[in-house]
Amino acid sequence: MSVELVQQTGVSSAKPRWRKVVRQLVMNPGAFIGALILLVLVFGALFAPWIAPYDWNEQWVGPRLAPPSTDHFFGTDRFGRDVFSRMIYGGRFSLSVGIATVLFSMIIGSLFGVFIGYTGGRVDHFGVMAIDVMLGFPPIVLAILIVAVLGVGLPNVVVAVGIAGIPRFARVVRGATLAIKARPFVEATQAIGAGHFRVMVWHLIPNVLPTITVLATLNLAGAIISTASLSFLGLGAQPPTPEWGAMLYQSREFYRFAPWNMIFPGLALFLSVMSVNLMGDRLSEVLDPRVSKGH
Amino acid sequence: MTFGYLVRRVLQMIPTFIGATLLAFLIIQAAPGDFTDRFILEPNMDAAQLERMEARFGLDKPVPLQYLNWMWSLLRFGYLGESFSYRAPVNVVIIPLIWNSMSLVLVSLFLTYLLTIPIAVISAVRQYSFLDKAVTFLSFFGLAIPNFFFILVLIVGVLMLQPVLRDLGAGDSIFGALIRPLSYDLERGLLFPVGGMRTSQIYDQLTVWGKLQDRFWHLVLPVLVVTTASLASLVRVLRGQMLEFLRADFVRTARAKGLAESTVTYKHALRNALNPLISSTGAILPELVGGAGLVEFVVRWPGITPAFVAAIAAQDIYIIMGLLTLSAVLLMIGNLLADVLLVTVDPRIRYS
Repeated sequence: MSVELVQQTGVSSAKPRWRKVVRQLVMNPGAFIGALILLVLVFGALFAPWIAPYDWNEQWVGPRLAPPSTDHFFGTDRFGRDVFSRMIYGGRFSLSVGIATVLFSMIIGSLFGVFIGYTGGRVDHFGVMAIDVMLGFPPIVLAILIVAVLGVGLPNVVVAVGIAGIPRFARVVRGATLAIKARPFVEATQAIGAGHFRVMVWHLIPNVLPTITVLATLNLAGAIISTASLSFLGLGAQPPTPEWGAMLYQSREFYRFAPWNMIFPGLALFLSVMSVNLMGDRLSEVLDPRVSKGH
Repeated sequence: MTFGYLVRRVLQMIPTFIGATLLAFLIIQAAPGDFTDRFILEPNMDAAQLERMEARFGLDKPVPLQYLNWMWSLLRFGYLGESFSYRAPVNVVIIPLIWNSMSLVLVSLFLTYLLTIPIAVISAVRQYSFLDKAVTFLSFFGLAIPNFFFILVLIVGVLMLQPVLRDLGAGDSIFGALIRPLSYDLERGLLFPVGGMRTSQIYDQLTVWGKLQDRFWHLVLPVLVVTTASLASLVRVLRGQMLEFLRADFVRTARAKGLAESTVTYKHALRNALNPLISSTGAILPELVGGAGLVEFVVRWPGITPAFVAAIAAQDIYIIMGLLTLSAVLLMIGNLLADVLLVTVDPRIRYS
């Protein structure tokens, strides 16, 4: 009897809850459209070699700067490369770079937030001060500065935008940790004799996970834009990489004569950010109503 | 709020300021090489000259000492150091940059606040109406479109209209006469200028009124883009807040005792809903400067961000430091102002 009770209120409840979350997500029209668009973009990126009619880097598959036609749906660029094929392949870079960036700031920021929030005292004091110092700069400015140190390139952009995103995760996760730390079960766990590490990893982190998930989804859109922005400044992906921001950067000299070079990668960027926003919005309502407000 | 609280808040800003400037300085110094490296390959420079140059800029001293020197002259004289590439004091170099960026950012900020409140209030009061749905859709659009892409699309749009408008400008039709005052240069078919901050060829010969007009036309597209993004996020926040407070118990009470609906909306619900908008004022200014930065790039606006990236490329460290310090100070002052404003507006909030 008591064993059953523990199972009902404990671990086993996690599974149906997630299923419920997914259902609530899909039932919302906005989130459904978002999921659909994102699915198409991700599908295109994953199966790019089978979908793209041409190789992303093969030159002179058509005339240079040709407008959209049945041969080249989105026209060609200045080397006669197929813009449609490049855009499809571009999802591989733009989307994965955005996800990697958020994972980077999420992991480091959350661990830091849980650690200082749980430890408290002087550690918390200096931790909060470090967060405040990093929040003292606009994230994109901090990211540009870090790229300047690390050097130009897509992996460095991930690290730079990732570092710039750390304080936002750390601050929110620290707040959530403080709230959970005050709950009696944490004290109970300590009373049974669980060490600090065990409390943090097995009791605090699972409890702040909904908050972290929501924050990560809400930050993913920003991360996709930020990484593309750095590529647009010429600091990220280098030619011939078909990253969307870099494609926009490379189109800047002739967008007046061949706007299709600029419109389609930009549209892909716009659609992916829009779909992530639509899903993140609904997810935050379902998972953690507190985080979505005022952010 | 007491005077003591203000003093304590200002005192708390000091370690943050030192931390932020120190962090910036360390990151800058972590970059390999320095400003003089670009002259190594120049045939008319020898090693001795390079060394003399390093000594003149203070680059031969240890990093902590460089930082202390910089901080000392900032506190003592308000001097931000010398720009290597401009060969001029940083203060002199960055003031016009700040002015240029601020003209763009402050106009956008003003428009954002002007539009946010009516749009969000109407949208919340008539929830699920056509207008509300349009606002929700447009705010998703505004949040999702990267501003460097948006400004490019607008420029291409203006350029595509160019041939049509040029014919209209040449003809004597009524439509041409109507649209002439609504466009920047109808003879060339340009509804709006597509780059720069002013028309460089003729600007100096213009009258004061003409100069203002010229500035105005160049502001339209960048301001539109910068405002769209900030408007979208603020409207969403305020609309959510309004919806919550319109359903609150005290609003029902206010209605029950027979107050006019407009009084209920504006004096009861809006008054409470404004709080997050006020507390975000501190963060919005640096955010706008950052967001406007990419637009500045596209339209070749001589603002902060293009200069910042150029300074990083040249390792002109005191320009970088100057601009970073500026953004950090802006943020701190903004946050302080937001807190003070919040206490003034909302008597429930008290700081001790």
